[in-house]
Amino acid sequence: MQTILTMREKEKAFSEIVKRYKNTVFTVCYLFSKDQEEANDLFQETLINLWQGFDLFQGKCDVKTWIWRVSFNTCLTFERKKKRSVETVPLNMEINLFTDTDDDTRQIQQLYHRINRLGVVDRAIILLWLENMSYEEIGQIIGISTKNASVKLVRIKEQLKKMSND
Amino acid sequence: MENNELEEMRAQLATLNEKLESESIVDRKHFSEATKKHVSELQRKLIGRIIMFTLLTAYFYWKLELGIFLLWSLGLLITSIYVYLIVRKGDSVSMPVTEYARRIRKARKIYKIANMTMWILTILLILAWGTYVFILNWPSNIAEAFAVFFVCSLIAFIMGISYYINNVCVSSYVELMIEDILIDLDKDYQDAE
Repeated sequence: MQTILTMREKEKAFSEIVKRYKNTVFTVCYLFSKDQEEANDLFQETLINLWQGFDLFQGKCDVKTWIWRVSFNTCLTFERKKKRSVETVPLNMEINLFTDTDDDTRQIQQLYHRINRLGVVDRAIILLWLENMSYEEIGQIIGISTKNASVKLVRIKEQLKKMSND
Repeated sequence: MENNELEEMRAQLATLNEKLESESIVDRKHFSEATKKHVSELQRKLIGRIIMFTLLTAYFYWKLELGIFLLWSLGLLITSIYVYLIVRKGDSVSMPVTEYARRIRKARKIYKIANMTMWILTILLILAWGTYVFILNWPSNIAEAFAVFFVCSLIAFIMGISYYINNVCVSSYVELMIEDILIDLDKDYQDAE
């Protein structure tokens, strides 16, 4: 049952959800950005969209599905800025996944390059699959049937195979 | 790519998650930024356009000699409101990625057509005005007639080139992404049939 929250309660609930799913949001922003600043902008915009949709979300669908949808939809429609904005609050991170050169980051960068060679939908689908989501959940987030999701995944795997052979 | 490589990708994603786990990423500043802004960037842009065209429409309404622009600004005001409503309705919360992409594509198409109409009309009006002054001054004041016509043609030319570069040659990243999604899906539907 949907309950009416006070602004303070709403903000608290919102910050708890974001803290819990920050990795998911950042992962999507990272994989759809070309540098750290763009990832910052995307992250900020995703937070705004999550906050905007928070009232609508409450109780309607699974939190995870909601977070993925908003993150993908934001990355999809976000206007990449030609000039850097001073408004964006930099992310509270010690690491830079685009420029760091340690072994772990190199592994992550390899994942970034593999995924970035795919089309937008394919990028989203493989990411969801790698996160161990079921075909049904993938279909719900992307807006395709379960069968279609499984067929697409087979094709993506073939595409990745072809790319790795090239 | 065999299963090994997919497993490797999964391990890389796990490494990413592990790395992110040790980072705080968000703090109070992010939450206050997010909660004080109630509209997304796209909506903010559209609201800006709505305000601009409302002011222009009011101005042209009162400045009767500029009445020729009234229809133009009114048309753009209505289009901007319509596009804003489409974007607002298409909330990124309840809509799956593909449905949202379709809605945004529709909004952008209308936005683009309205933009194109605005540019073409403005260019035509500048040219028409230049021609009008040219005819008015010809042949009594040839130098002024040519000067005005030249300046108007130059402005129209620059505007035309600028429109062509910004809207025809350079497709925005968003449009490319949306097209990518929809072409991909259409291909799938055809295959399924």
